[in-house]
Amino acid sequence: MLDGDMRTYIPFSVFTALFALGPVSSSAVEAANVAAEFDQAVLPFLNAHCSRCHGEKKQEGELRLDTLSRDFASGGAAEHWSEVIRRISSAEMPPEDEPQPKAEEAAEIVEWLAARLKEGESARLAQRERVTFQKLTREEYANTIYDLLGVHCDATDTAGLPEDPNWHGFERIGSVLSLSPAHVEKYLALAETALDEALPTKAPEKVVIHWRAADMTEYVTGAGDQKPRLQELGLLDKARLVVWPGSCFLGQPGTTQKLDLPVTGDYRVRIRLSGLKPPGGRAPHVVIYAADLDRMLFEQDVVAPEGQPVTLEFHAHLPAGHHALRMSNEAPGPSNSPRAGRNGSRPFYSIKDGREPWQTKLTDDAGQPILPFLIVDWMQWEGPITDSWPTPAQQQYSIPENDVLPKAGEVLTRFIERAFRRPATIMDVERFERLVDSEIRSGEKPMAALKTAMLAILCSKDFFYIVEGSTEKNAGSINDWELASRLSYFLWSTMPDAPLLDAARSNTLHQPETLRAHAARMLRDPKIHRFTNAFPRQWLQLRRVGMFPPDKKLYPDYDDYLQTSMVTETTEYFRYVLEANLSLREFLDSDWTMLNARLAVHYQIPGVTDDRFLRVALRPEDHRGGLLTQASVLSLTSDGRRHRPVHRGKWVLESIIDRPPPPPPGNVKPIEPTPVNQPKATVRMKLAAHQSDPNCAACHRKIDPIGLAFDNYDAIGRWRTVEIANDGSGENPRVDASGELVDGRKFSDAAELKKLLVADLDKFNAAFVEKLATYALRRTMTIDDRTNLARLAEQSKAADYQLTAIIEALVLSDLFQRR
Amino acid sequence: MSNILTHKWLLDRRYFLRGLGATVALPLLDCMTPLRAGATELASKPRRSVFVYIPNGVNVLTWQITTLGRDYQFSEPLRPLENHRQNITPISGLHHPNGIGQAHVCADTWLTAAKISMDGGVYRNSVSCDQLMAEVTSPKTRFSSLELSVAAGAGQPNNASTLAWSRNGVPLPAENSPRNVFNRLFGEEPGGVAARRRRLNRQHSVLDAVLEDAKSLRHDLGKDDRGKLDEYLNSVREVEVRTERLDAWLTIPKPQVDAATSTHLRRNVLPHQSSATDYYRTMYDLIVLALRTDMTRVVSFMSGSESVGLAIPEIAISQSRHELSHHNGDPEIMARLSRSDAFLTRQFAYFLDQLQSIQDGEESLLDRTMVLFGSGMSYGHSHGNANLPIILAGGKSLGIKHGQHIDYNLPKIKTYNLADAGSHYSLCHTPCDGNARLTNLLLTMMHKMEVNTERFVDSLSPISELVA
Repeated sequence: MLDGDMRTYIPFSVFTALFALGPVSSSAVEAANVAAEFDQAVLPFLNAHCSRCHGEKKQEGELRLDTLSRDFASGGAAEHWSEVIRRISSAEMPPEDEPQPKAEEAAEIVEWLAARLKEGESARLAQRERVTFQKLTREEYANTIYDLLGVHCDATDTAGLPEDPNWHGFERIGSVLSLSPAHVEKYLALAETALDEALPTKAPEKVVIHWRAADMTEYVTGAGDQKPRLQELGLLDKARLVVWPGSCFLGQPGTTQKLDLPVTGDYRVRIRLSGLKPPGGRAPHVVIYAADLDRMLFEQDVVAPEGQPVTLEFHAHLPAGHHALRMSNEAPGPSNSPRAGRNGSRPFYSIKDGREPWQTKLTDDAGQPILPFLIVDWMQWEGPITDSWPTPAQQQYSIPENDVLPKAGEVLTRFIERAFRRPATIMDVERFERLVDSEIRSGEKPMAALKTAMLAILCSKDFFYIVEGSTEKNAGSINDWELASRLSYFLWSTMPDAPLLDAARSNTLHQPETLRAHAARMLRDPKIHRFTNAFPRQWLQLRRVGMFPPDKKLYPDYDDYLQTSMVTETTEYFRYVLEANLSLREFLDSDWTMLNARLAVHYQIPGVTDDRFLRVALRPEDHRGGLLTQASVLSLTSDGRRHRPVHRGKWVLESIIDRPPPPPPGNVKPIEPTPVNQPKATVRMKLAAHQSDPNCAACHRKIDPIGLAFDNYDAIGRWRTVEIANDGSGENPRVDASGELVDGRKFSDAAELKKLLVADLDKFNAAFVEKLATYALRRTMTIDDRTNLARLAEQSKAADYQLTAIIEALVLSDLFQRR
Repeated sequence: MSNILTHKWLLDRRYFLRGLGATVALPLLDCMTPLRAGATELASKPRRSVFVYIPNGVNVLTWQITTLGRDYQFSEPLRPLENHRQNITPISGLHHPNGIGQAHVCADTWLTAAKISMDGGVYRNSVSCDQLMAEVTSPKTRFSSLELSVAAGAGQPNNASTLAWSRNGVPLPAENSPRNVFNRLFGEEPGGVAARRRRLNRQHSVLDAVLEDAKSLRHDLGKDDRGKLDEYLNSVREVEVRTERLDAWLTIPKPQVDAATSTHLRRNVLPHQSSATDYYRTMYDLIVLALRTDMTRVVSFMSGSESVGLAIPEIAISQSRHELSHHNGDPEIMARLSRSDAFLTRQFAYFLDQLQSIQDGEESLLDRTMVLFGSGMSYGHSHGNANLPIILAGGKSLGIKHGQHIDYNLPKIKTYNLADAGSHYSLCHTPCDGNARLTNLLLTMMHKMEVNTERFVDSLSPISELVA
């Protein structure tokens, strides 16, 4: 009863009691329930094994357990109970010379206490005050600035806002996101830059910076003073730049170039190039990177014959100033020194010209490329690109030179309503009008004064926090303005658009049909991709991919583009499930996935040549399907050297089944390496103690089998039948991926485990609903939410677990409109 | 505004410090006697503290110094510090009582000593000792403190990339690009003084308006619901104080940094892109420059966070320290960990060399700067955090006595037996002297920085051997 499904611990009798007695606070009932459970399950254990030394008569180590508070929500008692857990699970307590409890009993106690502690933690994290402040994440801040002012903002650069702290992968839990003075300084700086770009005093001077191959690096033309001669002969413009594949550890052999931009803004960048792919080999991969900003601007595989180069185009928002651009070809190749790849005494015009003897050959005798390389003609930077002049922001927020204050008041009222996502109060407007006034008195021009007031608005708590509630009463549900914000930050990670704000203004948004219509509209809008990117990333903890970079010697094929592709597979997969109206089943198992050429090479799936992510049908021999066998999921638990089955098991329990295991005891001995004279062993064999030692087995028999099911996939997610062991001698051992679930069902490998999980879909359904609610409401779920979540799970089941139906059901639920 | 302004006239004189062939113009720091009569503040020279963090513990079997007292032998990884024997004190046996048994909070709590439970509490840290020091020194410097780290930002709960925490328990984000820091410290803002004053006034007005709004809400909310709002208010107020301070410093020109140093520190040196030696030395150069120009007197630097550790290809180490620390007993990996330890110590020795080479009258910069070098973890493989590897350096002119190895284990265990790895690992898990607390050392440093307090978290008393 104690391990397994925690939800059913509320007996039916209590529910009926609730209705019979009338309005009783549900949390009081829950607390009474927990106390009853405690007396029934834990107290006997404590009396039998602990109270003699930690009770009324004696308090060894100053710890007394019989009077220890059972209020798991309060921080103080929770500390002690977590210590109790630690001692019991590491078998430190009871001491060796005392009678020992049975391992199963001890495990039950530990699990029960750990679950209560987790609930208490969630309760604390989700405590609702009369007015709650939930900070926007960096991405949400940038999106909101864009929707408000029409300009992009570099909030996620290293010089931008600090990274958002995450809680089990979720980056938007209100109580976890904190605000430091550094944040405030950054908000000031970012808002100021955005306002200057949106409301410039004069039209920005546009620039066009064109780099020919000959301008990009001296390597094109060889020794310096050839340029005038070549120019004369009309050959300079025809010179092309060959960019070699491969990467050295320090520094890249790509070209670097200084870019000076006069003005912050959006720039359109075009690059004309060819890319030659050796038959049966990898395509060359162009990467354009701003080293001073530490930001990747663009990357793509390029396949275009020498005589038919393509023009690629992308946009980038860049701050004014000097930038160090690096263009490289990140396809793997022989580690090459610039010398061997360099052009000789004459520039490169065509493959057909011969090479000098010391130069690396580009093509074989048949004229086919031997290595993947790029041939670049030119690159052009143009901008700043503006939608219109005057800018959209200027059209909305301008005041004349005279009669300033009344007009300023009107503009401010409009701006405040959009920025604070609620109607402006008189006090709001007056406060910022006073600011405009004092600025003008200090000699500022009207527009500059207005911008200062707008800066203050953008640094107010009502802008970069989502504020809910009011001081007058402790509201149980949110009003329509707050609902509009919740909805838009849930599905679009940005402020409400005009239709949503209109519905809020007319107080019709909460009406079910209106709400349903808006949700449906938003699900079909292109901005939904922000949800399909952010939610899987946070739910599945994809930020951990590459956190421990795979060892370059053990995994030489692992490169940055593979890593990005791995993560994109998962987010694209999620997007496809949403857009094609598929069900949760697809997350557990499927006969398709989304692949690009790079990832297909990694999975050894033939026939995929497109650089874009497209749906690919899977065959059983591909050993893929669903989320659990995607490379991103399989590799995020590795430590960079090997896979870690226990961590994989824990990840599945956390993210798929939502039953995270209790934390391990401290001071556990490390796994010993196999001595040289012993045969090679798999990690599974070395984890034998987890099964044989009853203290370990109590928890690990729930964790390990699930993780071991994926042993056929190595630390970077490749399929294998044999595990490479670095210690011991003899042959590498075969993988054993079989196991047994807690309920007795057996499986022989990951494919069968996936089928078992699909057969038990309701468990995943419940877990998924909770994760989605956590993301949508920006807080952890507590005992008080159980009923609502159960109802949502029911609705999901009735809709055959269709993803869009679940999202709609959540938006229309009580849970979504409660505080 | 604030009474910082009354000090302005005192700071107009110039004063030259020489070192490393670079002359830097400075405001006079010695005689900052306030105008107001009856001031108890004596003319005082700067007191400084630097904290340098080693992540993931060390190879405790090779790091441990086994002899007590003045004639101790340097262990292999610590040999680069031999020239500084008279300037350093290695200390064995210290721990944070609140940290024992906690796996990953070591960096988060190194300077806060807080109890952060991973199961049972909202993640809340408390103030770090460097910020308490900065409260004392910040009226005298342009920047109250400097947070540097290999990983920018504040990091994540239980995986901080900064050592500094405000009184609200909010992490203060660190910077990892020496260029960005240099520009922030020494960069010139465009326009003359009048234009810059206008900008600061404008910023001040913006913050005033923002604070006014928040304060009125706070008043209405009453006592209970103020958590996040207070965090907001305190952060905005702090920026307002910084704005006021910047205004006070407005007429004092920033020090002119000579071209060679400026170019050197403005290179685009980033972790993972440059060689580790280059990166660390550039960061150390930056710290030295910030201290000698008195831009700040409190600096913290994470040479790695618990999850971000630089590979060191110069000595054939391609793994991060985290990987090395989870060595599984593999002798090759443990040897690499030792080499990585030695590498970090070499760079630290470079830092001490630089500090020592700068003379200020009869003292060196090192003499007036205390440097704490160490980790919040000892035996990284299973997250043991007793018997922390700790070295205190510098600060002799502040009254710190160096030249010996202080050891709290030896009185209890009589002798080390490093051949029995298991027993030494146990020592690194369970402290043998419960009174040997790292907070005692932090309190010692705080007293030297003139922080007026009897204790810091769970400290018992300052370490007498350091100040006797």
